[in-house]
Amino acid sequence: MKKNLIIITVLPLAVLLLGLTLNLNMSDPLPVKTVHGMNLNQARQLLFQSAGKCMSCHNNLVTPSGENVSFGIDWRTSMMANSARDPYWHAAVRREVTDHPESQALIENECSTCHMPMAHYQVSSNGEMAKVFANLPANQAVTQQNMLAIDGVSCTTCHQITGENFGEKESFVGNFGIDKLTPMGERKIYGPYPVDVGRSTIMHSSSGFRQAQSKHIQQSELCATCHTLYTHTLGPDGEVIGELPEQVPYLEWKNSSFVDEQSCQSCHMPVVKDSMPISSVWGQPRAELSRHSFRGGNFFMLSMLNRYRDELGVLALPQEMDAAINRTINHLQTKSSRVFIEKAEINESELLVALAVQNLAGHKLPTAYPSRRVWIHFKVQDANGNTVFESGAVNTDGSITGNDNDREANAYEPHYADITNEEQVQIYEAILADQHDEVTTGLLTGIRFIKDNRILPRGFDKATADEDIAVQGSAYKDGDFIGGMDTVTYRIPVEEPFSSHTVTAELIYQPIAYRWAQNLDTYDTPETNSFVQYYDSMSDNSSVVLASTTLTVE
Amino acid sequence: MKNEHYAYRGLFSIAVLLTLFAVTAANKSLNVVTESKYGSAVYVSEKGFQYLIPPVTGKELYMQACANCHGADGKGASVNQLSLQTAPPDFTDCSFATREPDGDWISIAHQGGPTRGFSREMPAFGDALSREDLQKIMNHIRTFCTDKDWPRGELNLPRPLVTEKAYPEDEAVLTSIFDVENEGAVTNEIVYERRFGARNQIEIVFPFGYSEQQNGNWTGGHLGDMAIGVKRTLYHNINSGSIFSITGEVILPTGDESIGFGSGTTILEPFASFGQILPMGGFLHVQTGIEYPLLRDKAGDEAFWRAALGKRINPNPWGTTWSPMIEFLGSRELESGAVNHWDIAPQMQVTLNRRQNIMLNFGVRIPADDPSRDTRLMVYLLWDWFDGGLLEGW
Repeated sequence: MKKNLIIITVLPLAVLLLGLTLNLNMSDPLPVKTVHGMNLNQARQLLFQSAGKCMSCHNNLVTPSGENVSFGIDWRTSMMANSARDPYWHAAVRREVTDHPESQALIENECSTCHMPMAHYQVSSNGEMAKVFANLPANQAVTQQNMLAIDGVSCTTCHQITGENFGEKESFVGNFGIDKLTPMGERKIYGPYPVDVGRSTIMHSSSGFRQAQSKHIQQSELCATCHTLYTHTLGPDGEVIGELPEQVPYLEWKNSSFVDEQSCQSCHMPVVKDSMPISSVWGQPRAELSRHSFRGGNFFMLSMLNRYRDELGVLALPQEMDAAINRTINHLQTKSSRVFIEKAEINESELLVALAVQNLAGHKLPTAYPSRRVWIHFKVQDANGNTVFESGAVNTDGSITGNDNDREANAYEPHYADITNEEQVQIYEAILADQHDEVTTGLLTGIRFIKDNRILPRGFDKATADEDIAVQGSAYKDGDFIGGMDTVTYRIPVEEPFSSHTVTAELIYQPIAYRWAQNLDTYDTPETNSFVQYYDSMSDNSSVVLASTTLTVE
Repeated sequence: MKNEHYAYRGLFSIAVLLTLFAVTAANKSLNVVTESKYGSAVYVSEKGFQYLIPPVTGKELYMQACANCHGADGKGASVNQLSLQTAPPDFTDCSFATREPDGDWISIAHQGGPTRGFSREMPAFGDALSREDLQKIMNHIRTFCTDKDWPRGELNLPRPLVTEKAYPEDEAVLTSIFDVENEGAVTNEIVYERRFGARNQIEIVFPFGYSEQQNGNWTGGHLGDMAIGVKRTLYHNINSGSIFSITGEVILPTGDESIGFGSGTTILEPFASFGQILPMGGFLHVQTGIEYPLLRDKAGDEAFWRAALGKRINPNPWGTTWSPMIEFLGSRELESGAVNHWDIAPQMQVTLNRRQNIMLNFGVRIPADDPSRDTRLMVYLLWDWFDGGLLEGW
């Protein structure tokens, strides 16, 4: 009897003590049991959180004048947010690993640095190499690693970057500083505003990050870490045989007059005029809020992401993407360039038009990834409206009439100072060549640019520019190809010199040039096949007019 | 016999002391949150002119601090829009919004969701909002449920071991009663209570027990007399802190009378329950009713009256809640010459998990008038299943 009594008396007490013990363990700084199926220790080792954690509060931001400037919505429509969903990137990486199978692990690791930075740094903190295709397709992301990967260049990527190596070559190619030691719960997240201690608990409790003020995230050097990309040219056995400045807009900016005027952020993250909270949860007004729209120029990829949203796992709503596309095109058409006729006259049987093209951007136009091109569509019509001359007409498949490179992969249009026939097209572009001087679109095959006549930013001195940003080809010797602009002289024979002629000039931009897309068609892989199919289905809208001018010459 | 008498006096004294402690112990939770330094916001006009508008009302505070996720209308914002993994609750749903006291909601707003075992997506406002601010917000949130028929969660007072509370609940309770004197016996009952509508509750009692035989062996698993009852709240008033309910219960003769686990007759048991919030975290339960057996040869009519006095204590204002209570239990057979029986039952209820929907109560029921009756240890484990599963919220 007594034994039973002891048992039945002690048992409830044991339950009581167990309950107390569990309750007393509430001092845990990160009071969660699991995060996406990971246990607490794994969660503490997380370096990042996906953007959803931030969007809950940094959304629904509407200016007093009614403009929605929500960080979450702006960001998720950007190329930054969709860097891992970009089907062109998928195809390009697949092409490279197909061309260089022995280097697949290295290629995936390097490409993931800036397209899947959170996943990359998470695994590299354990000494492992990051993968690309293991995290795809984006619409089937399951694991925490998958979700970090497809979240692209996310909030906790940029806002955790430390500034100690800013501007140094060591910081380029995605080698930004990230604290890999501090556990989640104590990790710092940087922002430009003073930390409001009273409110800091709100963010820390839900995200695990502690706010810290630092202006370094407003420096161009932050963007430079990824947007200064050198690739290693690989030989037949995977050996490194050269280095290519694949995209260096930061260095272009450094060599322009914009270096003292505007940062990358000041243009690509436009400032909101009104003071307003940056959080919808008990936020306080902040001056000079920077929009997180990351407006750039790739309207075409945004359109592709929107059209094939289900396959690509796009989170932004269709109307949000439409707004972003319109915003991008508007940005291109108002901030990138100007075209005007400097001189137009008819001498005897020749129409002479000096057309000036001005670059308003703080880097080359176009810049960054070498698939981008800008060209002049120049047309002359007689008094009856008949076209008597046309150079640079765009076709529905995305190719340019008269462009040798679109007709034949190993050819290309040189830079022109004068254009005298319709087969000549002024295309501002970077043409890549391999070690045998064959034209290529393979990033790890290309070893140098044999043509780079992208329009220089204001203040850029081509004579003193470093080799990595140098003008290549005949543009170097073109005397009116100078910082900020280029002038092309069109000399067109006319049959009726005494009648009026109407000159129309358009500057057209195409983010993914025909050749760069079609070269992928020679590969038979799921990624290249999908992309080429996407491209072909949308090629008639692959370009946009940046600027235009018309003049009637009597 | 004299020694036993002293023992009962001692136990009675301890019970009284516990009661005094319960009523007088300080409740630290009232003084923890400091005043907000950030209780005002800047309003920006269309012309860009900025001026301070202190968010004075609960609605203004709610709109600035809560509406982003919980919606201006209290129905909760879109999960997809906010990238939330957990949908915000619907404050207009009275069945959800009335059940918990303000204090629980304020704890979560101050400490964040995990303090009650909920999602981390519910942030902790910490010192950004004062207790007064949070209370104003709570008052506004309470306006989302427009049906005042639902009793407020504050009236859901801690459950005593014996006295039935007036608040209609969704809970399951496993109670064990150990006879610590003479021959051993353990009586258990599982009580399942389910609320329906704003004021009603159905309950089913499933008793079973174990007893020690003359030879010292135990026999067990005996079903006792099951009961089924319906409760209805007739009156509740959050301002006065009062709630009053009546219950009709039928006890069925499902137990084995021969081994002491049944009465052998159906018994009707109507009773009334009253709950009252007292100052400084105190509370009072009163229950009274009669037992009316259908077969008079099996049992006699009996009246009972019960009261429980207690107090909630939170040594850690956002953590475990301790509720010391003392019950006074009286009964009398309704026949001439019958005597009143009095028991006292000092006890302590404690919440076991963060969610505070799993509780344990441990006490002793002591006969106060007749030392020959047995003292019994009592313990229950309570699961408020509406608030979450058994394994949730730890």
